[in-house]
Amino acid sequence: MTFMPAPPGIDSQAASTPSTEPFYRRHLVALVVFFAGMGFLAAPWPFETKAHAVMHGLCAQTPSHSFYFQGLVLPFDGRMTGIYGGVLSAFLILLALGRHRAAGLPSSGSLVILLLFVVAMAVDGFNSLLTDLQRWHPYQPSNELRLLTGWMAGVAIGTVVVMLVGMTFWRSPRVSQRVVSHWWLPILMVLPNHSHPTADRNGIAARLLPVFPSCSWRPR
Amino acid sequence: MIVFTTLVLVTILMLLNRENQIDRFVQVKPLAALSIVVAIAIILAIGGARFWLEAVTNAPALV
Repeated sequence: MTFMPAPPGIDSQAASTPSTEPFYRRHLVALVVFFAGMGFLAAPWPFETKAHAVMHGLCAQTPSHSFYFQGLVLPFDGRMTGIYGGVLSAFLILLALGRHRAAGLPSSGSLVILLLFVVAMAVDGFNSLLTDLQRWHPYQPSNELRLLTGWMAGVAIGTVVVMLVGMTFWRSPRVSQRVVSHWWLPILMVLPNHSHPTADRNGIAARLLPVFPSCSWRPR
Repeated sequence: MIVFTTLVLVTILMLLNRENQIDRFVQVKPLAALSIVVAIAIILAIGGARFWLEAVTNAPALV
């Protein structure tokens, strides 16, 4: 009688099939998120205080740079809302396009656009700093601009993170597939910023949109 | 939290020398759960450190 050993990985695959896994393992990520969320809600302080405390290390939380909702200052200021929104937008759009397995650098055109996005936030950040220091500044800063330029930089950061995932995770990363293949794709990822309740619909993004004739969406 | 979790997950994969061994997202489920916990801990630690620094240095409140 001959014994043929199972190929490596077979046992572990069988053990990890959804039908044999216990409930807690099958929904491990959801359970961790659920308990973290419940822990946050159960903490005995007002919601606003808790939200500000949790985000205290991630954001400067300058009241004059923040948006207000029903008289309450939001825990993230305009720029951080933009940055995290931009990262999320890049994640979702690139995931929807199946680029989460792409490990190729962005195309030269999109690379230039992404770099310009980061430069735009740097310029707006320095302008804002000069204003706070009561020095000469080229233009009056606004939370809408902070949101927009933050979103642009967030798109650049999100693209890099998706590319990092593509390079790091997969057994056979798609090196030949560019994470961002067209120059206009980063700009497409900025468009969700316009649906943000605080976005400036008469601002820079609104003026840039007509540049894209294929885009049927127009600001309201 | 998604951003922090992703960065922590990538870091953990590299620290464990398990990069480029994943076929499907499901395979990183346990590590993703661990990454969420670590990410929350990092976020809270940075926030706590800022509170501590503000208390120690008597930093004025931002306006």
